[in-house]
Amino acid sequence: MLIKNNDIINSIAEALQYISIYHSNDFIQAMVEACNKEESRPAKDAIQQILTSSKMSALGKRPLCQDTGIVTVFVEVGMGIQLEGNHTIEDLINQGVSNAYLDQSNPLRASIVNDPLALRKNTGDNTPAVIHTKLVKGDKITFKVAAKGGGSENKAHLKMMNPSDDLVEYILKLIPTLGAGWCPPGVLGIGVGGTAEKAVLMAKESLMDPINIQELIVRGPENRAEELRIELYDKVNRLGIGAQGLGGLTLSSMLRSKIIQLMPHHCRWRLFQIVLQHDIFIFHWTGQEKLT
Amino acid sequence: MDGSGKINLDPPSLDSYPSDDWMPDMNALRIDLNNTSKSDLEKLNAGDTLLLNGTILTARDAAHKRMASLISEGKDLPVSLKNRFIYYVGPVDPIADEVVGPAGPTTATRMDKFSDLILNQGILGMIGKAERGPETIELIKDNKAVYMIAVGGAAFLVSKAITKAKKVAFEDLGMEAIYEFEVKDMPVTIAVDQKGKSIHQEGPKKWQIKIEEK
Repeated sequence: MLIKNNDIINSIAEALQYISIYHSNDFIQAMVEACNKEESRPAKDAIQQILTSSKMSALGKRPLCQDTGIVTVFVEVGMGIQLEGNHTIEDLINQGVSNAYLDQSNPLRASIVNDPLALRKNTGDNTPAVIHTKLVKGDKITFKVAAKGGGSENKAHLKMMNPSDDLVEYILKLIPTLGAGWCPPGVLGIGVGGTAEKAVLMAKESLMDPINIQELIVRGPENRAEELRIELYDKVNRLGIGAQGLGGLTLSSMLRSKIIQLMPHHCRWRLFQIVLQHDIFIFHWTGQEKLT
Repeated sequence: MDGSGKINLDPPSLDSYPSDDWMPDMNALRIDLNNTSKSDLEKLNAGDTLLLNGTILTARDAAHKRMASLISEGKDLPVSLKNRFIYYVGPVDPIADEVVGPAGPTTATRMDKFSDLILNQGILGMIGKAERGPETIELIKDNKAVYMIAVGGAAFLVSKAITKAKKVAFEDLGMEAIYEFEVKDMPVTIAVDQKGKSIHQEGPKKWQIKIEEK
């Protein structure tokens, strides 16, 4: 199956424009739920401002946040496909990123600097993206595209844990130390197992899953990871941190975190935990699926 | 993608949004930034919601770093900070008839290391998002300044309160340049008041007790 270069470039650009403007429905629903539940006046006011701002963005077709992120793409390349010509997947994605960020109908903020240790010169078109590629069976290529804001990315943690350590206890101690720069209410992504870099990657990818914590609570947990999600959802919200760290009931009202697990080395389990900005831009498509 | 063309995306439905839009609290105190002094700010308490009117300067990491080097070299700043308010923001470029693109606050905590230098220049207040560190809180108290927060994530709504924008210094820094914004009813909350009370310390503490009592 031949995949045309322009189809990849245009799809990446269109996805980035789309996620800069629109929140996903599951996120809006979770925010509305948080808003209804919240009893703290300043926290509720903040959530209402976010919801109204989000609606204004959808109507005005302008970015949800001034930080339009660092582009992060998970690619699954089916081994049955063929790419045109002699371009790498990275080249094609970066061309899509450049087109999206320089789009004159809705220019996005370029936030990437070159030579970070010295000159720190802005690359001007938000390239390069951070790209993770996997080869899989099949005749299609799948992209999961996120534009990750700095406020939440700066709160990422990697912890090398001992087998006897308590994951929940660690997270509950950590979160109050993170402050409010990640614009709560937000989403936690957790990856457990593997090696240091694998745990980080799993945590990041877990953020691409749908927010389904309320369904999970209704259905009941079916495994240890789901039990942990429910326990963390409840305990994290009981910390009292609230929207924007102002105090309140809904810190992480949606907890997108699918906890991804991998077989760890027998004497160590690894944990990585990302706290995500409330408006992580996530977009996922495969084949002809349409996002509505 | 399976070779049959690029993706097609339809805008999502807006039905999930609440029907009532957020509106500024008409009882909120309006502050005239161009005619205010340290003693006018004395009555403000952490947690108060305000609507800001007048002019503010913007600066974030790169502009702070450059101002710090100029100060350490004994040089004048390109714009006086005396009695001004600084908004930590790196806006999106405007289109069409916009004054400025989305322009929500960035994390103020990153600017803590410059607090001493900048407060010494005589600023009255800072606007950003998230908590300040203990040393900055003490400095705010000592200098009789205030720290206010806008809502992180409400960038487009906040930008609509900006009625004029011009770059006044460090133009080569792009979105990190120093702008002067004129604002009308920009919604903020006092996060650190002149007494050194911080809503990010008090708020969660209060709510943790409330939750435990439930």
